[in-house]
Amino acid sequence: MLGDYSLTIVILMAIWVVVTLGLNIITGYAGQFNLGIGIYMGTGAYTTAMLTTEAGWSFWAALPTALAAAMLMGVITGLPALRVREDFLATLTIGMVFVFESLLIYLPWFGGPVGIAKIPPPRLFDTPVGRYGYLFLALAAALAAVLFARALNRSWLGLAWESIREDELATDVIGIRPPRFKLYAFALGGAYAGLGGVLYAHFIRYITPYDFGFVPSIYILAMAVFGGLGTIRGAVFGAAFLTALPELFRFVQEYRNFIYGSLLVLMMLYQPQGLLGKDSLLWRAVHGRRPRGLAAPAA
Amino acid sequence: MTTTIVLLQQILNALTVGSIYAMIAIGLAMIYGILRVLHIAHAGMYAVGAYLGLLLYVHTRSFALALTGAMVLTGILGGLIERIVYRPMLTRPRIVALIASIGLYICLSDLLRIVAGPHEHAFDVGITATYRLLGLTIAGVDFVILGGTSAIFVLLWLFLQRTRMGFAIRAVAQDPEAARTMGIDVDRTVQLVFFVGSAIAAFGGVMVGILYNAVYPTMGDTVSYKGLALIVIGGFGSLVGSAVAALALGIGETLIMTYTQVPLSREGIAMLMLIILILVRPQGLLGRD
Repeated sequence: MLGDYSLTIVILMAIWVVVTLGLNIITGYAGQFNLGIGIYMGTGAYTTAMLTTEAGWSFWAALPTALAAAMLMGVITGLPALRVREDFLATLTIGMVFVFESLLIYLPWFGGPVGIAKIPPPRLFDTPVGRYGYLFLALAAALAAVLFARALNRSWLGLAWESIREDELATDVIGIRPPRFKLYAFALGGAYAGLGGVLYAHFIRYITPYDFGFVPSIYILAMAVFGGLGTIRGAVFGAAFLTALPELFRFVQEYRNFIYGSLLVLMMLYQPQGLLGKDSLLWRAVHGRRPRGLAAPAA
Repeated sequence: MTTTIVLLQQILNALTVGSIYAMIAIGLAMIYGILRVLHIAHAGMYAVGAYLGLLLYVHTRSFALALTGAMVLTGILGGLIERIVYRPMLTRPRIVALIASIGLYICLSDLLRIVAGPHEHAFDVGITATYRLLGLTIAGVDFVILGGTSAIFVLLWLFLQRTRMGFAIRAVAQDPEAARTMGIDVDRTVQLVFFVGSAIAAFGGVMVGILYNAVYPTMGDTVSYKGLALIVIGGFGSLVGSAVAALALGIGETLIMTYTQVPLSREGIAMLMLIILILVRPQGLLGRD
């Protein structure tokens, strides 16, 4: 059976898969830069943490509320983001994640820089779920997230997003209003990241504002980009691989930022589609297809 | 009377901080102006510059030599980054260079931690004199910083307006294709901008090092994002705009921190100003289009 340690890694992998899928919806599907995915993850985590510790709610009651809060945060941050594009959008979201982190630290209600501790584990039939229970929960959430993302991508929503990503003006001209669909992407991506945040909070059981700041947001971006932005397989692989890497190799943990940073640069230089993205070398090799020209990554 | 003196003292300190921000923002604005790349790793250049300055100072015991050496070496590093990282990416979608730049930044600052250790290094160049003027206390370091940054401004202005190389830079920033047909070596010019911008960032880094008497791996963190805020506020690519924005931010931050109870850190305030400005005036304070 799995040891305690590998159990922890697998659970964390599942959690980061959910969050990365959220970023994949906003940036991969709808093509909207977002360097502040930590905002939504943090909103979910803090909502559930406060409801379960201070208000005494159960995990199951707090979960939908936290998802709704993260979704709402997606809409709140999405509204100003509608006014700007590309570099400005990237800068705007960086600004937002700093303000978010700063508010969590300085406003009196969120436990300040030390955050919130003693978050209770979820209970099922009046007993706290054990580590295997949590493993099952996290894997079920990740699976549901994958299936839902797949359904989204194949629905008219997915089509509208792809159309906005490739050519926003043309999309507007054929009568599909980009602002509406961008907001859907922010809301759904936010809910995904919020779900990841809830799972994270109840697993680690101790959260601080720094868990959801700019650098964690960049880790998530690295996961999505490494696997292949705009694809589910890329998000799952990137999140799982980059979560496991520092745990499997001690030196990776020591030099985590250095390795993540170099990976981002090297990927952008030689394989901007990500390892398993559309038209990436590896994916083409697996499928034995010929290159379809120099396709750009989905963004 | 005392409150005015306190206010003046605060503004003086704010000017010192603001002129250091300007050293970062100018390079970023030049690079954005010529390549349309948000060079987030620029703040890494600033930290690298501070470390190189300290290293050279420890070995040579000459501040002037350390400062020049740090500027030249960091400038060369900036030129190399342009050649190796950005140049192959320019034909790709914008997000490619942006992500690479973020990667480069976290890689650079971690490299500093690995090489020089996570702790602070003291950077004491022995400027301890303080002067009293009209009731204000002015440290010798403040004089060095304000004088140095003003000198950099003037030199940069002369360089851009009065030399052939500066003329080439302005031409490429306006229209790379037209500049190329006029016989300007665009690649060399872009590399030159990275050299100059990084050298100025190194100057800022050394100045911060001596101002706080500390050099540490994450010293670029706050300025890197503030630098972005500044070039947005100043209008992407506008040098004067970003310098004005830098001084305004230094003063604005300090006054808000001193006189109000906003529940935000200095970074939070800067970022809030950025968000509001992007929404109200997306072309920046002095931006044209």
